[in-house]
Amino acid sequence: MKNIYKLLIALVVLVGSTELTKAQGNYQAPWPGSSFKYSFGPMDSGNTTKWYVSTEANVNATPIADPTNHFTISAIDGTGASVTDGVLTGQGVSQVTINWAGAATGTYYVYLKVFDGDETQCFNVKGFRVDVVSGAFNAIAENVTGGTSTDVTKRGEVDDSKILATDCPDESTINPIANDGAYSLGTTEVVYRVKREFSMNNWHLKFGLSVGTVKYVYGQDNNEITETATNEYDVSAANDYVLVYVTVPNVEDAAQDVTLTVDAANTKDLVTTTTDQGSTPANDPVDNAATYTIKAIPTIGNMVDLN
Amino acid sequence: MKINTVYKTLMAFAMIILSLASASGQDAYTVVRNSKIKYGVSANTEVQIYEWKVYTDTDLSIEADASSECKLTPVLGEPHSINVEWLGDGTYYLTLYATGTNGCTNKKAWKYTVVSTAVIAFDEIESSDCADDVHTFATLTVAELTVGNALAESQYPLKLNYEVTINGETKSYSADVDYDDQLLNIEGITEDVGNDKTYTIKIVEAKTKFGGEIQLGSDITHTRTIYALPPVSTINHN
Repeated sequence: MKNIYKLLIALVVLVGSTELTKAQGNYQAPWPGSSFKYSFGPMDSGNTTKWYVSTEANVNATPIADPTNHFTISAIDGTGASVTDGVLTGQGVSQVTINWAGAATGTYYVYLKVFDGDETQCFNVKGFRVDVVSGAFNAIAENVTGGTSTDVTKRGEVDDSKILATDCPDESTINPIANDGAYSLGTTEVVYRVKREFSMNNWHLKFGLSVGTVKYVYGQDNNEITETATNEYDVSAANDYVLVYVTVPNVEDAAQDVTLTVDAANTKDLVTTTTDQGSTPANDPVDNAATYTIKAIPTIGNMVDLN
Repeated sequence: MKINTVYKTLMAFAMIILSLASASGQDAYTVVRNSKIKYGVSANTEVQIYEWKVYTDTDLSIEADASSECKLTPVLGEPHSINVEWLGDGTYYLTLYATGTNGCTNKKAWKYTVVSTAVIAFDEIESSDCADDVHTFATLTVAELTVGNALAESQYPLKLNYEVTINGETKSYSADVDYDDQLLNIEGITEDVGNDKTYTIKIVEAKTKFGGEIQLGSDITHTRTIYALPPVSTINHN
């Protein structure tokens, strides 16, 4: 009877995402690799608190003793916190941060056991179910042409308010002198954003282009990403999206639809190996392709002496 | 024998190369100063606006001066054409901007070199004839864009003004010189069987078909002598 102490573990107060700027699921359904704060409300500073995670849903649930492929846990408040065999023990720890591992999968229960004083005293315990999003990975392609910066240090950034679905070819790149050896109609730069969902892990991107060639690819962190094979890139976990800059040769008298299509079978989470195609819920093929239309420019023929 | 054959072959090649080099002449983009030429591209129904400009730099940023370098005049009802007056020596970029009905613009430029080096002269500076009933006379001219480079066929017929002087009396004439024979037909020469006559023919002005200015070379005066026939007495019957 003593172990059910009158201690009140109050309302479940769960603090949301620590990094609000990045999508990473939510505290009840976090993506692998994401990080959330959890709390059941204030704890008395003199009470011993034990936080642990289990796959079992009962009062005697066994803590996951080796959390390597599941999570890491750390205290936000309280005193004397330390983690042993996956259990975070401290005084009055009311908030913790849990980083869900990239390989985390399935249902977990986050428990708080609080003693009315030291560990010999009566305790109360409460758990909270967390379903880590598993077996899911989605890549989404979007046209962001016009929204990128000319600043080389900001090649990973997009101003969504400036995105255009279609525009004229880039006239400034035309090398117009027809009789001096270097005539060229020039090129137009088209930019796509490929986002990933349901994972915070390193990921791999492969795509195809209907026309044009890749100029360079930049991550959300403004760093250039090296191509590993033709139109394939390994993207570090820090980047929820990459920007693919494409160079398209201009043509006369015809509009050009420039489409980037994510290769769903080969675009995947590098930790869980879940592919865009094999994702649960099923991959949505509609979001794999994005198109930008380069408008036509009129043909200018050869110069003729009309006298 | 073999060496001789090789030598002959090499010589033949050398001749071919030389003839090719000398045949290079004036291209379509080299223009004689003061030429007025109408240029154009094929009409394109997709184009809503044609805009012609002429620049002096490859970046197409410095427009040529209309009074001293190059003057453009629109061709009425024919916006895909332009009248160009090349006024100053130099390199120019005649540029066309064509804007489609969708508002998108294409551009193309052509590099032209304007020169004032064209020179004309007579091939021979003197000739003579015995007086007879044929009073026509034509003599060969030589027109070059630069030394050794013939003026292109497109520049013909050349428009020449010349003077013919005899006994201190000068008359002015005009004539065209065609590309095919390059001959200047001279008027005002009479063949007098009774007296020797010496005519002085002088080119005073020469222009290309387009009004381009041709300089006068050193041999622009041709002396034509018509020799009288020796008198022959009436046959005496003894």
